[in-house]
Amino acid sequence: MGLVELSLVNPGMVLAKSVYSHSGVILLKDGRTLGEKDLLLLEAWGVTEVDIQGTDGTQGKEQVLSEILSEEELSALDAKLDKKFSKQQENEVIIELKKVIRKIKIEEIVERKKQKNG
Amino acid sequence: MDKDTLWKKIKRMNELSTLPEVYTKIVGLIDDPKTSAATLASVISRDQVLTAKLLRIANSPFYRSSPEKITSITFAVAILGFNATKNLVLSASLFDLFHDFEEGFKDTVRGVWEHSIACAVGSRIIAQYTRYKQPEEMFVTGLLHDIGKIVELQFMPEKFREIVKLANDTGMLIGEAEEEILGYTHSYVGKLLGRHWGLSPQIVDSIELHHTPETANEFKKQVFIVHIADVLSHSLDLGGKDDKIPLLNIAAWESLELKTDTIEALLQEFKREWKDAVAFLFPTK
Ligand SMILES: [Fe+2]
Ligand SMILES: [Fe+2]
Repeated sequence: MGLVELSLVNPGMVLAKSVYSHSGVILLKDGRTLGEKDLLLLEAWGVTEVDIQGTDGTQGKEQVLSEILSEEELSALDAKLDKKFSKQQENEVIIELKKVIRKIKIEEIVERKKQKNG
Repeated sequence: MDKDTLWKKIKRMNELSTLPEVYTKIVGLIDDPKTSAATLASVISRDQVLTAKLLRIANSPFYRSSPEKITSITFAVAILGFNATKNLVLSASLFDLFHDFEEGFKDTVRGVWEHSIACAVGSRIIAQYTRYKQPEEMFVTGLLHDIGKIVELQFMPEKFREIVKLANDTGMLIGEAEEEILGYTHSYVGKLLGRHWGLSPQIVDSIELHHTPETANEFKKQVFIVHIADVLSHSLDLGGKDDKIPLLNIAAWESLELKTDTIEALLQEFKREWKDAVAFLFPTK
Protein backbone atom coordinates (compact mmCIF):
# COMPACT_ATOMS: atom_id res chain seq x y z
CA MET A 1 0.00 0.00 0.00
CA GLY A 2 1.05 3.58 -0.47
CA LEU A 3 -0.01 7.14 -0.73
CA VAL A 4 -1.42 8.07 -4.09
CA GLU A 5 -2.14 11.59 -5.21
CA LEU A 6 -5.90 12.03 -5.56
CA SER A 7 -5.74 13.04 -9.21
CA LEU A 8 -4.12 9.67 -9.96
CA VAL A 9 -6.70 7.63 -8.08
CA ASN A 10 -9.18 5.82 -10.30
CA PRO A 11 -12.57 4.36 -9.47
CA GLY A 12 -12.19 0.73 -8.46
CA MET A 13 -9.09 1.28 -6.35
CA VAL A 14 -9.38 0.11 -2.75
CA LEU A 15 -8.58 2.24 0.30
CA ALA A 16 -5.81 0.78 2.45
CA LYS A 17 -6.45 3.23 5.28
CA SER A 18 -9.58 4.99 6.42
CA VAL A 19 -9.79 8.67 5.59
CA TYR A 20 -10.48 10.91 8.58
CA SER A 21 -11.28 14.56 9.04
CA HIS A 22 -9.39 16.73 11.55
CA SER A 23 -11.94 16.07 14.21
CA GLY A 24 -11.57 12.35 13.73
CA VAL A 25 -14.74 11.79 11.75
CA ILE A 26 -14.35 8.83 9.53
CA LEU A 27 -15.06 9.99 5.99
CA LEU A 28 -14.40 6.75 4.12
CA LYS A 29 -13.59 3.39 5.66
CA ASP A 30 -10.59 1.29 4.77
CA GLY A 31 -11.32 -1.58 2.41
CA ARG A 32 -13.77 0.54 0.49
CA THR A 33 -13.69 0.26 -3.28
CA LEU A 34 -13.68 3.85 -4.44
CA GLY A 35 -16.45 4.92 -6.79
CA GLU A 36 -16.77 7.97 -8.97
CA LYS A 37 -18.80 9.68 -6.28
CA ASP A 38 -16.26 8.93 -3.53
CA LEU A 39 -13.56 10.64 -5.55
CA LEU A 40 -15.73 13.73 -5.97
CA LEU A 41 -16.39 13.74 -2.25
CA LEU A 42 -12.74 13.33 -1.35
CA GLU A 43 -12.01 16.25 -3.59
CA ALA A 44 -14.76 18.23 -1.88
CA TRP A 45 -13.31 17.36 1.50
CA GLY A 46 -9.97 18.72 0.36
CA VAL A 47 -8.19 15.38 0.46
CA THR A 48 -5.07 15.43 -1.67
CA GLU A 49 -3.68 11.93 -1.16
CA VAL A 50 -5.10 8.60 -0.08
CA ASP A 51 -3.62 5.29 0.93
CA ILE A 52 -4.39 2.75 -1.77
CA GLN A 53 -4.08 -1.01 -1.46
CA GLY A 54 -1.55 -2.77 -3.63
CA THR A 55 0.47 0.26 -4.65
CA ASP A 56 4.11 0.95 -3.83
CA GLY A 57 4.85 4.24 -2.28
CA THR A 58 6.14 6.07 0.68
CA GLN A 59 4.64 5.09 3.98
CA GLY A 60 3.43 8.48 5.06
CA LYS A 61 1.96 9.40 8.38
CA GLU A 62 -1.80 9.64 8.82
CA GLN A 63 -3.32 11.83 6.16
CA VAL A 64 -3.89 15.43 7.12
CA LEU A 65 -7.21 16.63 5.82
CA SER A 66 -8.32 20.12 5.29
CA GLU A 67 -11.28 20.86 7.45
CA ILE A 68 -14.63 21.31 5.82
CA LEU A 69 -16.94 20.92 8.75
CA SER A 70 -16.40 22.98 11.86
CA GLU A 71 -16.40 21.42 15.31
CA GLU A 72 -19.67 23.19 16.08
CA GLU A 73 -21.35 21.83 12.98
CA LEU A 74 -20.23 18.35 13.84
CA SER A 75 -21.32 18.46 17.44
CA ALA A 76 -24.67 19.96 16.43
CA LEU A 77 -25.09 17.10 13.99
CA ASP A 78 -24.15 14.53 16.62
CA ALA A 79 -26.57 15.99 19.16
CA LYS A 80 -29.34 15.80 16.57
CA LEU A 81 -28.45 12.23 15.71
CA ASP A 82 -28.40 11.21 19.38
CA LYS A 83 -31.89 12.63 19.80
CA LYS A 84 -33.08 10.95 16.61
CA PHE A 85 -31.85 7.58 17.78
CA SER A 86 -32.92 8.02 21.40
CA LYS A 87 -35.73 5.46 21.13
CA GLN A 88 -33.53 2.76 19.67
CA GLN A 89 -32.02 -0.28 21.27
CA GLU A 90 -28.30 -0.70 20.84
CA ASN A 91 -27.65 -3.38 18.22
CA GLU A 92 -25.47 -4.00 15.20
CA VAL A 93 -28.09 -2.72 12.75
CA ILE A 94 -28.71 0.52 14.63
CA ILE A 95 -24.97 1.17 14.99
CA GLU A 96 -24.45 0.74 11.25
CA LEU A 97 -27.58 2.72 10.43
CA LYS A 98 -26.44 5.61 12.59
CA LYS A 99 -23.00 5.52 10.97
CA VAL A 100 -24.46 5.61 7.46
CA ILE A 101 -26.94 8.35 8.33
CA ARG A 102 -24.10 10.38 9.82
CA LYS A 103 -22.12 10.01 6.62
CA ILE A 104 -25.10 10.97 4.47
CA LYS A 105 -25.78 14.02 6.64
CA ILE A 106 -22.13 15.09 6.33
CA GLU A 107 -22.37 14.66 2.56
CA GLU A 108 -25.48 16.81 2.55
CA ILE A 109 -23.78 19.56 4.54
CA VAL A 110 -20.74 19.46 2.25
CA GLU A 111 -23.03 19.51 -0.75
CA ARG A 112 -24.92 22.53 0.58
CA LYS A 113 -21.70 24.38 1.29
CA LYS A 114 -20.39 23.65 -2.18
CA GLN A 115 -23.57 25.04 -3.68
CA LYS A 116 -23.37 28.13 -1.55
CA ASN A 117 -19.76 28.77 -2.44
CA GLY A 118 -19.93 27.82 -6.05
CA MET B 1 -63.40 11.59 19.72
CA ASP B 2 -64.17 8.10 21.01
CA LYS B 3 -63.73 4.98 18.93
CA ASP B 4 -67.44 4.55 18.15
CA THR B 5 -67.90 8.08 16.89
CA LEU B 6 -64.72 7.72 14.88
CA TRP B 7 -65.94 4.57 13.14
CA LYS B 8 -69.33 6.16 12.40
CA LYS B 9 -67.62 9.19 10.93
CA ILE B 10 -65.32 7.09 8.81
CA LYS B 11 -68.28 5.20 7.41
CA ARG B 12 -70.06 8.42 6.56
CA MET B 13 -67.09 10.36 5.33
CA ASN B 14 -67.15 11.74 1.86
CA GLU B 15 -64.12 14.01 1.99
CA LEU B 16 -61.90 11.16 0.92
CA SER B 17 -64.46 9.74 -1.43
CA THR B 18 -62.35 10.13 -4.57
CA LEU B 19 -60.75 6.88 -3.63
CA PRO B 20 -63.69 4.48 -3.41
CA GLU B 21 -65.33 5.75 -6.60
CA VAL B 22 -62.70 4.80 -9.15
CA TYR B 23 -61.09 2.18 -7.06
CA THR B 24 -64.16 0.19 -6.01
CA LYS B 25 -65.46 0.09 -9.55
CA ILE B 26 -62.25 -1.37 -10.88
CA VAL B 27 -61.65 -3.61 -7.90
CA GLY B 28 -65.14 -5.02 -8.32
CA LEU B 29 -64.22 -5.97 -11.86
CA ILE B 30 -60.84 -7.36 -10.94
CA ASP B 31 -62.23 -9.50 -8.14
CA ASP B 32 -64.92 -10.92 -10.39
CA PRO B 33 -63.51 -14.16 -11.85
CA LYS B 34 -65.65 -13.68 -14.96
CA THR B 35 -63.82 -10.48 -15.92
CA SER B 36 -61.38 -10.96 -18.78
CA ALA B 37 -58.25 -8.93 -19.31
CA ALA B 38 -59.87 -7.40 -22.39
CA THR B 39 -62.97 -6.29 -20.45
CA LEU B 40 -60.90 -4.79 -17.66
CA ALA B 41 -58.68 -2.93 -20.10
CA SER B 42 -61.61 -1.59 -22.06
CA VAL B 43 -63.41 -0.34 -18.93
CA ILE B 44 -60.31 1.49 -17.70
CA SER B 45 -59.50 2.84 -21.16
CA ARG B 46 -62.90 4.49 -21.35
CA ASP B 47 -61.77 6.84 -18.59
CA GLN B 48 -59.18 8.91 -20.40
CA VAL B 49 -58.00 10.93 -17.44
CA LEU B 50 -57.44 7.79 -15.41
CA THR B 51 -55.72 6.08 -18.33
CA ALA B 52 -53.25 8.91 -18.79
CA LYS B 53 -52.55 8.96 -15.07
CA LEU B 54 -52.02 5.21 -14.87
CA LEU B 55 -49.62 5.14 -17.78
CA ARG B 56 -47.66 8.06 -16.39
CA ILE B 57 -47.27 6.35 -13.03
CA ALA B 58 -46.61 2.89 -14.45
CA ASN B 59 -43.72 4.29 -16.49
CA SER B 60 -42.30 6.54 -13.80
CA PRO B 61 -38.83 5.58 -12.57
CA PHE B 62 -39.86 5.40 -8.91
CA TYR B 63 -42.81 3.06 -9.49
CA ARG B 64 -40.94 0.70 -11.81
CA SER B 65 -43.79 -1.59 -12.55
CA SER B 66 -42.03 -3.24 -15.44
CA PRO B 67 -38.76 -3.00 -17.36
CA GLU B 68 -40.69 -2.44 -20.57
CA LYS B 69 -42.40 0.78 -21.48
CA ILE B 70 -46.13 0.47 -20.96
CA THR B 71 -47.93 2.21 -23.77
CA SER B 72 -51.52 1.15 -23.29
CA ILE B 73 -53.87 -0.14 -20.62
CA THR B 74 -54.33 -3.38 -22.56
CA PHE B 75 -50.58 -3.88 -22.44
CA ALA B 76 -50.50 -2.88 -18.76
CA VAL B 77 -53.13 -5.45 -17.81
CA ALA B 78 -51.43 -8.11 -19.91
CA ILE B 79 -47.92 -7.52 -18.62
CA LEU B 80 -48.67 -6.58 -15.01
CA GLY B 81 -51.60 -8.86 -14.32
CA PHE B 82 -54.78 -8.07 -12.42
CA ASN B 83 -53.26 -7.62 -9.01
CA ALA B 84 -50.61 -5.16 -10.07
CA THR B 85 -53.18 -3.24 -12.08
CA LYS B 86 -55.33 -2.99 -8.97
CA ASN B 87 -52.38 -1.60 -7.01
CA LEU B 88 -51.62 0.84 -9.79
CA VAL B 89 -55.20 2.16 -9.72
CA LEU B 90 -55.04 2.43 -5.94
CA SER B 91 -51.79 4.41 -6.07
CA ALA B 92 -53.22 6.73 -8.71
CA SER B 93 -56.36 7.31 -6.66
CA LEU B 94 -54.29 8.10 -3.58
CA PHE B 95 -52.16 10.58 -5.48
CA ASP B 96 -55.40 12.43 -6.19
CA LEU B 97 -55.88 12.99 -2.49
CA PHE B 98 -52.58 14.80 -2.09
CA HIS B 99 -53.67 18.25 -2.99
CA ASP B 100 -57.02 19.15 -1.52
CA PHE B 101 -56.51 20.36 2.01
CA GLU B 102 -57.58 23.28 4.10
CA GLU B 103 -55.35 26.26 4.61
CA GLY B 104 -53.40 26.19 7.80
CA PHE B 105 -52.75 22.47 7.60
CA LYS B 106 -51.29 22.28 4.12
CA ASP B 107 -47.72 21.91 5.32
CA THR B 108 -48.56 19.22 7.83
CA VAL B 109 -50.59 17.25 5.30
CA ARG B 110 -47.89 17.64 2.72
CA GLY B 111 -45.37 16.42 5.27
CA VAL B 112 -47.41 13.30 5.95
CA TRP B 113 -47.73 12.58 2.23
CA GLU B 114 -44.05 13.17 1.54
CA HIS B 115 -43.24 10.78 4.35
CA SER B 116 -45.76 8.29 2.92
CA ILE B 117 -44.13 8.53 -0.50
CA ALA B 118 -40.82 7.78 1.21
CA CYS B 119 -42.27 4.74 2.93
CA ALA B 120 -43.78 3.63 -0.40
CA VAL B 121 -40.50 3.92 -2.27
CA GLY B 122 -38.63 2.31 0.62
CA SER B 123 -41.08 -0.57 0.84
CA ARG B 124 -40.73 -1.20 -2.87
CA ILE B 125 -36.92 -1.17 -2.65
CA ILE B 126 -36.88 -3.51 0.35
CA ALA B 127 -39.36 -5.77 -1.41
CA GLN B 128 -36.88 -6.05 -4.25
CA TYR B 129 -33.93 -6.58 -1.91
CA THR B 130 -35.83 -9.37 -0.20
CA ARG B 131 -37.28 -10.82 -3.41
CA TYR B 132 -40.86 -10.21 -2.40
CA LYS B 133 -42.95 -11.20 -5.38
CA GLN B 134 -45.11 -8.08 -5.65
CA PRO B 135 -43.03 -4.94 -5.13
CA GLU B 136 -45.82 -2.66 -6.38
CA GLU B 137 -48.12 -4.03 -3.70
CA MET B 138 -45.55 -2.96 -1.15
CA PHE B 139 -45.36 0.47 -2.80
CA VAL B 140 -49.04 1.11 -2.29
CA THR B 141 -48.96 -0.37 1.21
CA GLY B 142 -46.19 2.02 2.17
CA LEU B 143 -48.16 4.86 0.66
CA LEU B 144 -51.09 3.96 2.90
CA HIS B 145 -49.30 3.09 6.14
CA ASP B 146 -49.93 6.46 7.85
CA ILE B 147 -53.32 7.17 6.24
CA GLY B 148 -54.71 7.27 9.80
CA LYS B 149 -52.83 10.53 10.30
CA ILE B 150 -54.58 12.00 7.25
CA VAL B 151 -57.94 10.96 8.73
CA GLU B 152 -57.04 12.53 12.07
CA LEU B 153 -56.05 15.70 10.26
CA GLN B 154 -59.42 15.75 8.54
CA PHE B 155 -61.58 14.96 11.53
CA MET B 156 -59.68 16.68 14.30
CA PRO B 157 -56.96 18.95 13.01
CA GLU B 158 -56.59 20.79 16.33
CA LYS B 159 -56.11 17.53 18.23
CA PHE B 160 -53.50 16.51 15.71
CA ARG B 161 -51.64 19.72 16.36
CA GLU B 162 -51.75 18.97 20.10
CA ILE B 163 -50.39 15.49 19.46
CA VAL B 164 -47.45 16.80 17.47
CA LYS B 165 -46.76 19.42 20.13
CA LEU B 166 -46.88 16.89 22.96
CA ALA B 167 -44.50 14.60 21.07
CA ASN B 168 -42.08 17.44 20.43
CA ASP B 169 -42.22 18.77 23.98
CA THR B 170 -41.88 15.48 25.82
CA GLY B 171 -39.78 13.34 23.50
CA MET B 172 -42.67 10.92 23.00
CA LEU B 173 -43.23 9.24 19.67
CA ILE B 174 -46.34 10.30 17.73
CA GLY B 175 -48.04 7.01 18.60
CA GLU B 176 -47.41 7.51 22.32
CA ALA B 177 -48.79 11.06 22.19
CA GLU B 178 -51.86 9.80 20.30
CA GLU B 179 -52.52 7.19 23.00
CA GLU B 180 -52.26 9.92 25.60
CA ILE B 181 -54.57 12.41 23.87
CA LEU B 182 -56.95 10.21 21.84
CA GLY B 183 -56.69 6.81 23.48
CA TYR B 184 -55.83 5.21 20.14
CA THR B 185 -53.25 5.70 17.42
CA HIS B 186 -53.11 6.47 13.70
CA SER B 187 -52.44 2.77 13.11
CA TYR B 188 -55.87 1.97 14.52
CA VAL B 189 -57.57 4.78 12.61
CA GLY B 190 -55.84 3.64 9.42
CA LYS B 191 -57.05 0.10 9.94
CA LEU B 192 -60.66 1.33 10.21
CA LEU B 193 -60.36 3.32 7.00
CA GLY B 194 -58.66 0.43 5.21
CA ARG B 195 -61.53 -1.85 6.19
CA HIS B 196 -64.09 0.71 5.12
CA TRP B 197 -62.37 0.99 1.76
CA GLY B 198 -62.27 -2.78 1.42
CA LEU B 199 -58.50 -2.92 1.04
CA SER B 200 -56.90 -6.36 0.95
CA PRO B 201 -56.16 -7.91 4.36
CA GLN B 202 -52.37 -7.77 3.96
CA ILE B 203 -52.58 -4.01 3.39
CA VAL B 204 -54.94 -3.49 6.35
CA ASP B 205 -52.63 -5.55 8.58
CA SER B 206 -49.57 -3.62 7.47
CA ILE B 207 -51.31 -0.31 8.24
CA GLU B 208 -52.42 -1.52 11.65
CA LEU B 209 -49.17 -3.16 12.72
CA HIS B 210 -46.43 -1.00 11.21
CA HIS B 211 -45.37 0.19 14.67
CA THR B 212 -45.97 -3.15 16.39
CA PRO B 213 -44.60 -5.67 13.89
CA GLU B 214 -44.07 -8.23 16.65
CA THR B 215 -47.84 -8.76 16.73
CA ALA B 216 -48.04 -9.62 13.02
CA ASN B 217 -49.50 -12.96 12.32
CA GLU B 218 -50.58 -13.90 8.84
CA PHE B 219 -48.76 -11.25 6.81
CA LYS B 220 -45.43 -11.00 8.59
CA LYS B 221 -43.32 -10.25 5.55
CA GLN B 222 -45.50 -7.35 4.37
CA VAL B 223 -45.77 -5.87 7.87
CA PHE B 224 -42.00 -6.16 8.39
CA ILE B 225 -41.17 -4.53 5.07
CA VAL B 226 -43.38 -1.52 5.81
CA HIS B 227 -42.05 -1.30 9.36
CA ILE B 228 -38.42 -1.22 8.20
CA ALA B 229 -39.20 1.22 5.36
CA ASP B 230 -40.90 3.53 7.88
CA VAL B 231 -37.91 3.46 10.25
CA LEU B 232 -35.51 4.14 7.38
CA SER B 233 -37.67 7.01 6.05
CA HIS B 234 -37.53 8.63 9.46
CA SER B 235 -33.79 8.16 9.77
CA LEU B 236 -33.21 9.84 6.42
CA ASP B 237 -35.65 12.68 7.24
CA LEU B 238 -37.58 12.05 4.08
CA GLY B 239 -40.73 14.14 4.45
CA GLY B 240 -42.40 15.61 7.51
CA LYS B 241 -40.71 17.10 10.49
CA ASP B 242 -40.02 14.54 13.13
CA ASP B 243 -36.85 14.41 15.13
CA LYS B 244 -37.22 10.88 16.48
CA ILE B 245 -37.06 7.55 14.72
CA PRO B 246 -39.66 4.99 15.83
CA LEU B 247 -38.17 1.92 17.48
CA LEU B 248 -36.65 -0.52 15.01
CA ASN B 249 -37.81 -4.06 15.64
CA ILE B 250 -34.65 -6.07 15.23
CA ALA B 251 -36.51 -9.36 14.84
CA ALA B 252 -38.32 -7.90 11.81
CA TRP B 253 -35.00 -6.87 10.30
CA GLU B 254 -33.47 -10.29 10.90
CA SER B 255 -36.48 -12.11 9.58
CA LEU B 256 -36.21 -10.24 6.27
CA GLU B 257 -32.57 -11.34 6.14
CA LEU B 258 -31.43 -7.87 5.24
CA LYS B 259 -27.68 -7.53 5.45
CA THR B 260 -26.09 -4.84 7.58
CA ASP B 261 -23.50 -4.04 4.93
CA THR B 262 -26.18 -3.23 2.36
CA ILE B 263 -27.63 -0.41 4.48
CA GLU B 264 -25.55 2.25 2.78
CA ALA B 265 -26.40 1.25 -0.80
CA LEU B 266 -30.03 0.81 0.16
CA LEU B 267 -30.26 4.24 1.78
CA GLN B 268 -28.53 6.00 -1.11
CA GLU B 269 -30.93 4.42 -3.59
CA PHE B 270 -33.83 5.19 -1.29
CA LYS B 271 -32.94 8.88 -1.01
CA ARG B 272 -32.46 9.28 -4.76
CA GLU B 273 -35.72 7.61 -5.66
CA TRP B 274 -37.67 9.52 -3.04
CA LYS B 275 -36.48 12.81 -4.50
CA ASP B 276 -37.56 11.70 -7.97
CA ALA B 277 -40.94 10.56 -6.70
CA VAL B 278 -41.65 13.79 -4.82
CA ALA B 279 -40.59 15.86 -7.82
CA PHE B 280 -42.93 13.78 -9.94
CA LEU B 281 -45.89 13.94 -7.57
CA PHE B 282 -45.44 17.51 -6.33
CA PRO B 283 -44.08 19.11 -9.47
CA THR B 284 -44.05 22.58 -7.93
CA LYS B 285 -41.35 21.78 -5.41
FE1 LIG C 1 -46.86 5.50 11.59
FE1 LIG D 1 -44.72 6.45 9.12
